[in-house]
Order: sequence, then C-alpha cells, then structure tokens
Amino acid sequence: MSDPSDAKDDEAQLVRRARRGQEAAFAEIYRRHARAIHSLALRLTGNHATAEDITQECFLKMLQFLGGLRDGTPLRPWLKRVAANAAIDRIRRDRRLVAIEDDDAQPDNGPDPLLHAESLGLLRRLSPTERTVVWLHAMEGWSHPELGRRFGRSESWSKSIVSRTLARLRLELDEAHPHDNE
Amino acid sequence: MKHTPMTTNDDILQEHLRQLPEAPLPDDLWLRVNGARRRGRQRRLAVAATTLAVAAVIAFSPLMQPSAPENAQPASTVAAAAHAPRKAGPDDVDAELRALDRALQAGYARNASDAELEPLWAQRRQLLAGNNATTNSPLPRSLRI
Repeated sequence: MSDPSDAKDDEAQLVRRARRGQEAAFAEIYRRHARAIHSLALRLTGNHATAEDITQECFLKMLQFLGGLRDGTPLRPWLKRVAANAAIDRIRRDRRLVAIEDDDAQPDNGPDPLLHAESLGLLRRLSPTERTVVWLHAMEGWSHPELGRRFGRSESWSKSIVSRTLARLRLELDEAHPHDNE
Repeated sequence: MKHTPMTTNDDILQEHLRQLPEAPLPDDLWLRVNGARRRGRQRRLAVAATTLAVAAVIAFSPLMQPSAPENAQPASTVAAAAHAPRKAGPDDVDAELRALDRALQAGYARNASDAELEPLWAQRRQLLAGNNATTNSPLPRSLRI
C-alpha cells in the first residue's frame, strides 16, 4: 500500500513541474482532480457553462498563485475552496444583477445538471444560494460563520438557510423513502 | 467552533447527498483548460520579455546620452564662480569667458533649456561690458561658441 505522504510529495512535485510549464504534469493534476472540482462547481451553481468556467479558473489559479498553495498543501481541498469561492462570487453577482429573492430563484433552463439528484428527490427546486449553503455546510464542512461571512451575511442567515432547506429536503426524502427512518 | 451534531434524519440526508454520483466531466474541457494555460504562459513570457527589455533600456540609457565635454561644469557652478569676489585682470576675464563658453557649449550639447542658459549669457554680457570699460586690450572678445 502506498504511503499517503509519498502521494503528497508526488503531488507537490507535480505542481512544481506544472508551474514550470510542463504540460504532462498539468495534465496529470487535471486527470486526478478535474472531475471532483467540476462536479462540485456544477452542484453549487446548477449551470454547465459556469461549472466549466469555474473548473478552468481553479486550475489556472493553481498555476498562478504561489502564496495560496505551498508545498505540502493538499491540492484537492485547496481546489475545492477556490471553486466554492468562485461559485459564491457568481451567485452574489447574479443575485445583484437580477435582484430576485432566494426563495424564487431557480436553476438555469439548460440541460438539467442535477438530474441524478432530482431522481432522488433531493436538491430539487433549491435556489443556487440554498443549494450552495447547504452543500458547503453539510458536505464540505463549512461553518455557519464562514458561510455568512463569505456571502456578506450573518451567521444566523446561514443557519436559517440551512435549517429551512434541510427541512425541505428531509420532507422530500421522507416522501421518496418513507421507510428509511423506521 | 462547535458544530451541532446532525440528527438521524440529517445523517440519512447527508448519506444520500454523499452517494450522489459525480457529474461526468465534459471531454473537451481539458482542451479548453490547457489552451487557456498555454495562452496565459505565452502572455506571461511576453510580459517578462518586455519588462526585461524596458529594464535594459533604462539601465543603459545614461550611456546613450550625448556626453558633455570633459571639462564642462554645470551652469550653476560657472555662474556662481563668476559672482565670486575677484580681481579682474585681462587674463582672468579671458579665463572666465572661456569657462562660460564651455559651459554654454555643454549646455547646448545636452539640450539645456533657455532658462538654464540665460544666466550664463547674462554673465557673459556683464563680463564683456565690464571688461570693455576697464581694459585697454585691443583684441575684441568675440563669442567663442
């Protein structure tokens, strides 16, 4: 079995080589992480084109910003953090542009990015903000103060979004799988 | 920060969310990302090359300036020297005139402004006027520029 520290060293070397312009190293990093990053971006934004933009942005930032990614820093969490921040920035910008309430916001009308989720009755009809806050809190471990700060809101705003949205999801889950809790 | 533990319902919900399959990665996304990487790298190299070129020009620009005559003194030095108390014999006047002329030549060689050169000309006129009134030298002191 391979030592995790070896994998980390290997990854640090890959990042260094990629920064020096070696395409093979960059390709290997992309192969390891792109699917997870794209998937997260898609889940948060609900938009294919935006998810692709965010994925590209993450990998290019990885090459550009030495300060944010030092040797030994695990790459996947760093990339996820960049992707989440990019998604939040877009959600905040779009919210300002269209000025619609969170409760009324819907995913885009393109090909449904959450088809698999909707098949479980989950994440359906959630606004981008609700989806992002709940996902980052429940699946990526973001705290409420962190979420509130990042969205330019309060900790209680994040708690309220999560609580309300989880209640909706639980209801849908109960309807889809009535015997799971018994 | 202490997180409130999730309830059983939340555990089930979280498990469902965790089991959601990852979305398929578009095949052409790699081409796009790698293309952007290449363009960015070329742009950075071009910027670095331009910066180096500009730095080199700035570093070597003093060598490209027209050089002043070796004995040339700054205009202010010459003008100050002209104001200094002295005994103005004919030889002194000639020496001062030559110094002023050299300073004027150097000034013109480095494209000095009229404002900067005017004190030298004034000094020269004053020197000639004063000397013409006091000396008997038969030789006219013409402009030696």
